[in-house]
Amino acid sequence: MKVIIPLLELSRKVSAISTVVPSKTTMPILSTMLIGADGNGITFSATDLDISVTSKVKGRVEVEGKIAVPGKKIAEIVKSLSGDEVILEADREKLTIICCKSRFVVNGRSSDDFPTMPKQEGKTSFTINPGLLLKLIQKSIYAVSTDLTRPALCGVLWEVDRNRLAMISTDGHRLAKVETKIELPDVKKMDVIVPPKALSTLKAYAEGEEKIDVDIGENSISFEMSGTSIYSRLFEGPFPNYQKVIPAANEKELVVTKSVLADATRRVAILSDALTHQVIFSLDKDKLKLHVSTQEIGEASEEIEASFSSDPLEIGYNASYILDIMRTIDSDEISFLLDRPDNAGLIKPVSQEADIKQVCIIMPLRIG
Amino acid sequence: MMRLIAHIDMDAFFAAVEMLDDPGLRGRPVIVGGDSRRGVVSAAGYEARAFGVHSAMPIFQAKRLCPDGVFLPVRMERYREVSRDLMRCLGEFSPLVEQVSVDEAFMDCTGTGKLFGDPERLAVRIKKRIVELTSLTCSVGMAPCKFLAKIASDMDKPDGLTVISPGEVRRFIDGLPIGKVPGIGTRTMECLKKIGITHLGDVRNYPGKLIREMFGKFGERLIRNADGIDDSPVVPYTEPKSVSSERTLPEDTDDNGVLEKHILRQSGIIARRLRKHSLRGRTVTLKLKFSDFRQITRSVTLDKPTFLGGTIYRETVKLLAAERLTKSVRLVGVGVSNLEPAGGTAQQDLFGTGSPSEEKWERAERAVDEIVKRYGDGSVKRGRLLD
Repeated sequence: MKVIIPLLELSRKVSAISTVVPSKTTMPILSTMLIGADGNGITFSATDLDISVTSKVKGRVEVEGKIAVPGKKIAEIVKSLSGDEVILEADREKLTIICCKSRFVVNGRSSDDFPTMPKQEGKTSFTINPGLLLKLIQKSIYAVSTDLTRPALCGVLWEVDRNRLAMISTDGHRLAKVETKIELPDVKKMDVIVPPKALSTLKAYAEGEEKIDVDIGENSISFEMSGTSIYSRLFEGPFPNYQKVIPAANEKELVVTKSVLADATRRVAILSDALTHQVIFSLDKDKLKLHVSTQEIGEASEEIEASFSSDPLEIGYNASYILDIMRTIDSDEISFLLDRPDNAGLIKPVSQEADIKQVCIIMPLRIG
Repeated sequence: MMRLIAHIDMDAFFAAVEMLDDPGLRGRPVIVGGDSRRGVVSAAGYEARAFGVHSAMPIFQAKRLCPDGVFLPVRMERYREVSRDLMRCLGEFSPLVEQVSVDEAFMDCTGTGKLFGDPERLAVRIKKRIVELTSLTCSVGMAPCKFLAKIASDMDKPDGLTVISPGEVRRFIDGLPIGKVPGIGTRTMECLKKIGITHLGDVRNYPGKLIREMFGKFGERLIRNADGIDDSPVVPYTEPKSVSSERTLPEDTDDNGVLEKHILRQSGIIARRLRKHSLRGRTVTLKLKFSDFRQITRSVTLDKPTFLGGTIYRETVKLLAAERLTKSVRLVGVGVSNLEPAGGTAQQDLFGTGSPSEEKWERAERAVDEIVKRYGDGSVKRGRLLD
């Protein structure tokens, strides 16, 4: 095999695909990425058996062939290069990389050992605009759990139906839900839990694409774009019954400018407890005061203008949760619907975007 | 710089405190221990030791050896109180005080020479100050490292004072019976004797490789100690790593119902201690000692850390239920480890993980804490623990 690839193209593709290469594995072949060159062009592939990616790389094929090479090392080498073009030449199980006057010979492995990309046999499929899909992902992925003892919460629940696509995630302390009205006439109604790694990988490739074909099977999901295929296993359910925790009767409404709340939270949180990040919201008529008091560290407070007309209220929240939510809301103003200090609060944008409906649920920190 | 470490060990501490509080006990054989006839001796005064009574000895045996002994229950709260005075006193001499137990502490006195004089003079001042503040005597060992300081404090008990200067270390180690080295019990001692090591100094003449092979990490320490090396620092305060409570039963039993009652009581004690120190623990451990003195421990790690007696009890009973008791049980213990700060704040759960009543129980148990604080132990009890 011998190919010549522009350095810019190579470094973009290699850095994206190297995130799929597992850093620790019991199967040495998984720590490699597969480079292939044939009549259709050049492809790079990587897999950790849960997720597999194959991506086209623009360049000239001089000699066809295949080789598996250590993924992280290749990424490191490519990142370090400077020049215009890179020559990759395989001789049996060695890959020579040449760029300007730099030359590397990397020991690889036989491409025969590299797992073949699984064939997706979808039960339902649809095509979606990448911009919309990425927005849905961005507004839902932040609340996934990292607690492996509750595996279903470690993924994003997708509810797919003929006229609607919803994504829900929760770590048990907060919950994100976004949905969009979308005509998917051929779709069979399905609920699946998608691993966040598949979604962040998708994000790395979706930019510049015109459409994404999504194919959902019993245990797997795949995304097809013009140059890239992503295949991922799904997480097993059941996902908890989230509907029952979305508060329906919170009547105390706080309306506040998003950037003002975010900035003030960030400031007072500097002195918050390192473990809980607790910030206390004191609400009074058209006034919101944020304050933090941490033994041994100090105190901070900030008053901000807000619209609020219920009885005074004091509730504690984890500042990082509040900031996560502020980052995912696009509207200038947010509406925060509250109840008692130990009940869930509901945050939503004051002006919902035309195509997306978003709600964020957050549980308080009990004030000790 | 050569270090100077002091080890302070109170003389027959529990018994001494009892004599302090009741001067009528002075000169009499005082034995502090479990209040049931099957308990063990926690501490014996020197007068009682003359009869052969020593700590960890079953009470009934102590009674046989010393029928006229004054047997008293353990008043841990009171001993802790005196211990706090003691530690405060040590703090006047060095900021680096490591409390080992209620009646024992290490101090790093390196560089205090200008302030307090040579080691011997410093030791005398410490002893004098402790008597002033607590009216109790102690034994002090001074040495360039911790393990030697500890051995030194034991050399001249009670009211002792031993200083091992850097120049004497080698000679001291050569003449030190191996059994005196901290961490060497009778079994290790026998192993060492078999290969001709009767004194710590003998270790130096033995191939290090073999010592390491035989004793692993401990062997490594032994080799270093034989050269007079012990770098372990004086650590001023360590967070508790676990909280536990155990009890020798009044009678051996294989009745799970009886064991559960004991577990319930101990779970309550542990939970209260955890809450008092604002800690929660993730790992719950059951310890059982059988009538043949065989001992097992079984542990479970929870998804969420707890400081609730009810939860600790539930998990421990599950561990008990999973054991097939072939022998009757002599001692039952409950422990909680893997501790983390509980904080006054708690992130609320959307789905109410664990038992939904967890939070209500927390309120209930905290309320009980308040009652106990005001009206004393035993003022509130679980119905099941009523006699």
